[in-house]
Amino acid sequence: MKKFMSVLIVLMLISTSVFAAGQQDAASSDGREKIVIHIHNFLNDKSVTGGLEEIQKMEKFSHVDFVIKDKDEEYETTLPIAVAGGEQIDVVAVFNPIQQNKMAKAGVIQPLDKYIAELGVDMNKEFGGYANNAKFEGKTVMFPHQVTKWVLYYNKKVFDDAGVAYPDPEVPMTWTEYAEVAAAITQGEGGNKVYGALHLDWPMFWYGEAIMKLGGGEKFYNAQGLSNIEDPIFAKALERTFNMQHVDKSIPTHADIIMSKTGPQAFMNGQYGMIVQGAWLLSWAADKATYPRDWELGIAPMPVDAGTTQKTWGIVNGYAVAQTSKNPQLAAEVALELSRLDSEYTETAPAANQTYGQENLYVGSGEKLGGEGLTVQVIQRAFNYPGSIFVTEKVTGPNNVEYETIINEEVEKYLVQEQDLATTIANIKTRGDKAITK
Amino acid sequence: MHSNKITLKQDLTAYAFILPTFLGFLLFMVYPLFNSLYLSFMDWNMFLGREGSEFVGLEHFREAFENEYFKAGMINNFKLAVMAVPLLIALSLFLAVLLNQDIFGRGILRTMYFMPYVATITAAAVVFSAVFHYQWGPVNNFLRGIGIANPPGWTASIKWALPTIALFWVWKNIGYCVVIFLAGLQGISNTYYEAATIDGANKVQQFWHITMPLVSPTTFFLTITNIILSFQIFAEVNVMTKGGPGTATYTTVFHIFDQAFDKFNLGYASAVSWLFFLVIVVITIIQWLGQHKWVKYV
Repeated sequence: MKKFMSVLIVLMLISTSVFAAGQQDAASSDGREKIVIHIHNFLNDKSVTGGLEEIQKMEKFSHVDFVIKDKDEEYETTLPIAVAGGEQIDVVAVFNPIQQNKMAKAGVIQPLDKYIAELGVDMNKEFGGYANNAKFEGKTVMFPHQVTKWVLYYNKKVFDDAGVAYPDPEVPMTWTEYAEVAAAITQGEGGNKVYGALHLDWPMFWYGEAIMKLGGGEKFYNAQGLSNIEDPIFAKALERTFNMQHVDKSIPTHADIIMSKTGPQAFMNGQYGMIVQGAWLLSWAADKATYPRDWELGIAPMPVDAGTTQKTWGIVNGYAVAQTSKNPQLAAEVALELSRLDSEYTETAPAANQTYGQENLYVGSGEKLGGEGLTVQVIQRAFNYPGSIFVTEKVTGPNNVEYETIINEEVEKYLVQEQDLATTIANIKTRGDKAITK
Repeated sequence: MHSNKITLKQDLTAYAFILPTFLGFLLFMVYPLFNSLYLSFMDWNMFLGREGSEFVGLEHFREAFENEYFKAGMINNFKLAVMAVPLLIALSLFLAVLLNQDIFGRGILRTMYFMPYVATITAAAVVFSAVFHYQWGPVNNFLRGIGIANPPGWTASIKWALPTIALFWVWKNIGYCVVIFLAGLQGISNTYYEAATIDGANKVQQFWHITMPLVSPTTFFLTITNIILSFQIFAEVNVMTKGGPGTATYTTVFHIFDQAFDKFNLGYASAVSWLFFLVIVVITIIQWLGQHKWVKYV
């Protein structure tokens, strides 16, 4: 009896495996294709979810079964591991230039030029100047999705309580003035403390002033192509941030932000006076069910290094095709179509694709926030101010991934008081030059 | 002849039983072990495989000795072992002795001490971080309440972050050590204590001269395994501090993870893994040799 049962179990296992394999073969033999889309936080964006819904109804993709993976908070770690393990993933999200170069250099995503040629797409016509942002070592590695631009948001109640005037809606503060305002509106102690501003552990929160003065992340290299971290603007920006954390105590310390895993959404809890962020913050402000608040939101220009000309920074993100795509040509076509649909559906950030007119941009937010003065016109003017200078917020240049990692590591040691400013600058210079020339 | 056949059949049956485990061991232990040794000599591209990789000899091992994060990780591992393991052993022995007495609520207490061990590390670490949050946490609120104006920064301070991790690690593992110690204590015959009582030995003398020597094999086992475990610490660091602030809680396993899965330097990470393995082997051998001086096998 035992022998019979054993044989039966083995036979069942074998037949199940064969049946499963047969099913898989049938799936591909009936002409249907599978496209796996793994785009994590892009799923927060209605323009993306709207596009995803529409693409599944399109006649030209009627032979495609779409698998849309859920958001994954460990996306940046798990995606490369899944790709290295050979899992089929076709369309992936690229959130910023650092990640773009990192994944392209490692081979997580693949060059798209031959697929673009097959599709007969003129990237410059499709994406304008943003086509250049999609390249790594001269090859196109993604279809641009959105262009982020930042402004200064402020909590009117915090300003009112401190008796300080709101920031001017047209004329930007300098970073020095911004630090002074942050100190002036900081109030309370312990659990009741209201900070003047919220700075995250994102590097632009300290090197933003340098980016603006130098003209973007591509200017983090000197004439010889090495690190220009010895430019006095870096020391100035770093020291100002350090003083805001440890002297004025107008922003939480770097260590606290990391250990508390504080994200930008924390601004919505009302305990911070100001934050610089992109347009995504508007969707949180409009969502009072998730982020209830008893204060009004204001928008002002980003602080600048000097002068009265408005400046802002941002990045271009995009859709790429993973190395393990089973049908990269089809995946590229899907990614391109998604970028086109972005421009039709986008509400919170300008789409990089120029196919549609982007009529819905800021409309949803403006309708919901108009009561506190943030009408569609006000938001549009804040994000598209005439004559505003746009700079790249990330380091872009030779071996930028390693270079920026080094900057982040050394700066963290300075901001948590593990080493002094001079050592920090010297270490970035030494390690950065070595990484850049590697 | 018949007997040989029976023996052969019995052997085959026995081997058949261990075959699945043995295959698993080969597949998930032996193969990765030797594959990582191979990778440690390669500049390995985990996405392109052998075609996108090149042989670099001992380069990664040389790099490791120059890497300040590897050095910081090793130093922190030693600091953590020195801080946490003696505290864990002493505290768990103390609790085990107490819980070995006929006290009220003994069963509930034993369960309570064991609960952190079975709790998910991530969930427990998040709660622990919140409890010890320097600004809003109840611990510092209490300390401020009793007049300490500047309580410790805990995980947000380079001075306190590693001790906080050590404290969490001790809290998490104490239940397991207590259970093992209890098993050891229950193996000590009461006759020793009865004889000592008749000879006039008090409780402290009985503890030092009977309990400690007779439980020393258990103490040795727990010391050796917990030192290894403390060196392998990762999840606690990853959840609570990400190795920071600065390099305050950066450990070697975190360095390996960071290099392999964030920076994609699989070859270098493999080399560090082997160096780390050798360090643990040396420490274990030293402990093994040293046991003769204090471990009593009765």
